[in-house]
Amino acid sequence: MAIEKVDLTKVKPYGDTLNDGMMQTAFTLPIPYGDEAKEAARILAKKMGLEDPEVVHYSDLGVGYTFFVLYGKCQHTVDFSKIEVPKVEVDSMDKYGVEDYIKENVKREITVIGACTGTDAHTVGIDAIMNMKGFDGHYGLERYVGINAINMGSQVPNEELVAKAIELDADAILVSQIVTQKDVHIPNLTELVELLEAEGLRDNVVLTCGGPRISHELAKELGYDAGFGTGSFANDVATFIVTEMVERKLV
Amino acid sequence: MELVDLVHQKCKIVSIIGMAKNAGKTVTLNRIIEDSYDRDINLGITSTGRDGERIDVLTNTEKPAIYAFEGNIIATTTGSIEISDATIEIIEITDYRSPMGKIVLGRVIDGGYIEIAGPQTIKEMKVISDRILQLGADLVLVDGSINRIAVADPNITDGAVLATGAVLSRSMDKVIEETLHQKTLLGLPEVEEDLKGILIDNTRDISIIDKDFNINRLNIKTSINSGKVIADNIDENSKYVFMTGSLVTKTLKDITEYSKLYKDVTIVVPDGTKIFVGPKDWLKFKKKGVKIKVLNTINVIAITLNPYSPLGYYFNPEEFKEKMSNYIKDLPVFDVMI
Repeated sequence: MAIEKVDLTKVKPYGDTLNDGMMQTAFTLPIPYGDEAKEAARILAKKMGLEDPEVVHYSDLGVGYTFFVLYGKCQHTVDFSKIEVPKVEVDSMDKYGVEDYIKENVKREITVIGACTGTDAHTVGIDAIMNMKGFDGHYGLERYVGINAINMGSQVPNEELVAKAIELDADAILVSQIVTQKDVHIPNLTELVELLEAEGLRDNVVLTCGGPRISHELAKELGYDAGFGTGSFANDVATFIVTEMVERKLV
Repeated sequence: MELVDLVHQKCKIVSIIGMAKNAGKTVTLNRIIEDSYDRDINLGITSTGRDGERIDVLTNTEKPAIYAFEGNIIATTTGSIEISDATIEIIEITDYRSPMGKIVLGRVIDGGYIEIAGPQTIKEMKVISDRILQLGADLVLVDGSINRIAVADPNITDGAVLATGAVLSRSMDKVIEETLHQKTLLGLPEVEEDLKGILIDNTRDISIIDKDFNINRLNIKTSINSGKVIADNIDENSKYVFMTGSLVTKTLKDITEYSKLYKDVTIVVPDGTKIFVGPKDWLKFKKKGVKIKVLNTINVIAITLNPYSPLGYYFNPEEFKEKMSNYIKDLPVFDVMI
């Protein structure tokens, strides 16, 4: 335990004494290794708001690029007492809880289709949720009794996903998508919603999306029923799907 | 004539749809809200997405706030009510759900900034919009989100304002090309009245209709991946192909490849929001002689322009407006940023 009391309304980085503001930052600049490069890094750090920036390490990356590590004092503070982060309110059931819930409230097998759509080939997310082996100690939906889980894999066109959902009379669709910095996957996510509306299916399925930059707010704008970000597991997704089906009377 | 006058003349429920995120939907919405206040038109306001949030969830750029006036009726989520400045009397908590809480109907008691996030599906949107009218609004504004346009379905809203802007592309020509294409789809001509009646009354299936209006119902649940089946059923007597849901590029491609008679039929879709064909492919099919009509033409009231992109570039506003107006002669074009 630190002896000195922390002022939570003015939190600053800690180096070796409280409120010294010491922090480390690292970056690469597209300029050749040398004294001029070192000075450029120092000036940049100063512009970033670091007081007394110091280049403590720098190395030649070849091709005329240089990598830097700098120390400096942060001049800004954060009011920790005012921070509010929206948390998902539903308490997730575990696998067995979901299975019992399906048996008692849905009373039939449900079909969940998962896919990475469009150009997206990053299947880590969808596999973590769908695959029988699961991820980090949480079994995937394929292992759930009462869930017919179909993983269509990567780069699935929205049309194929919708056709599959119609063919199998799916109860839920789960799309995994890396929303990139340039946001190219956004129109791909909205196109699926639009296709489902055009086919008259939107009201009959629970539509969820997941991926590193996906939040509930983004899901709302995209037109999805829920968005699952980093740290979500199969049982979180399954809990949402089955409770939503019951709430929306889709059983 | 101002945008609000055009909208109010023609519609009870109007959608504001966009070609992309940051195309200027919220600015258009705000313009209509302010002008409605001046004209004593009591508004209902809702959104398919989320509006009035201060910071864009994707680009982290500042977004325009939405100010609601006393008397306005809004449909938003429980989560959004909490963070709105306006004093809102909650009239009804509906069973409709969203990732940000249940959809709530409320009346603004004391004007202020609000966040609007309405129903998730278009069927729910129709029910909510009708309810807002019942509660006393003269005109309901349904704000779209990102590039979603499904809500412009004429069974849901009775007119649409299309927002477009520099955000689509750094090339002004590309922005105009895409906007023109969207406007073409939304404004596709309707089939003749007698055929319309027959289709609406008699079939809910994808069907082929001959010259005597005999209906051949095809046993397929969707046209997606069924272009060949549809093509195989087109014969010398066929006159129309009726699609009940979507029409995607591949279906059209398959029909034109597997049937030599595709030029002799007119493909009928419910409305322009059901067509998923890009500008280049569309022109190709048109050149090949493909004919497409709709059951219901969407009443596009105006096009609004945002010459600024949050990516940091912008078009010359006068040039943008003039060029767009040259291509879109039959609709008023407004620059909402002026």
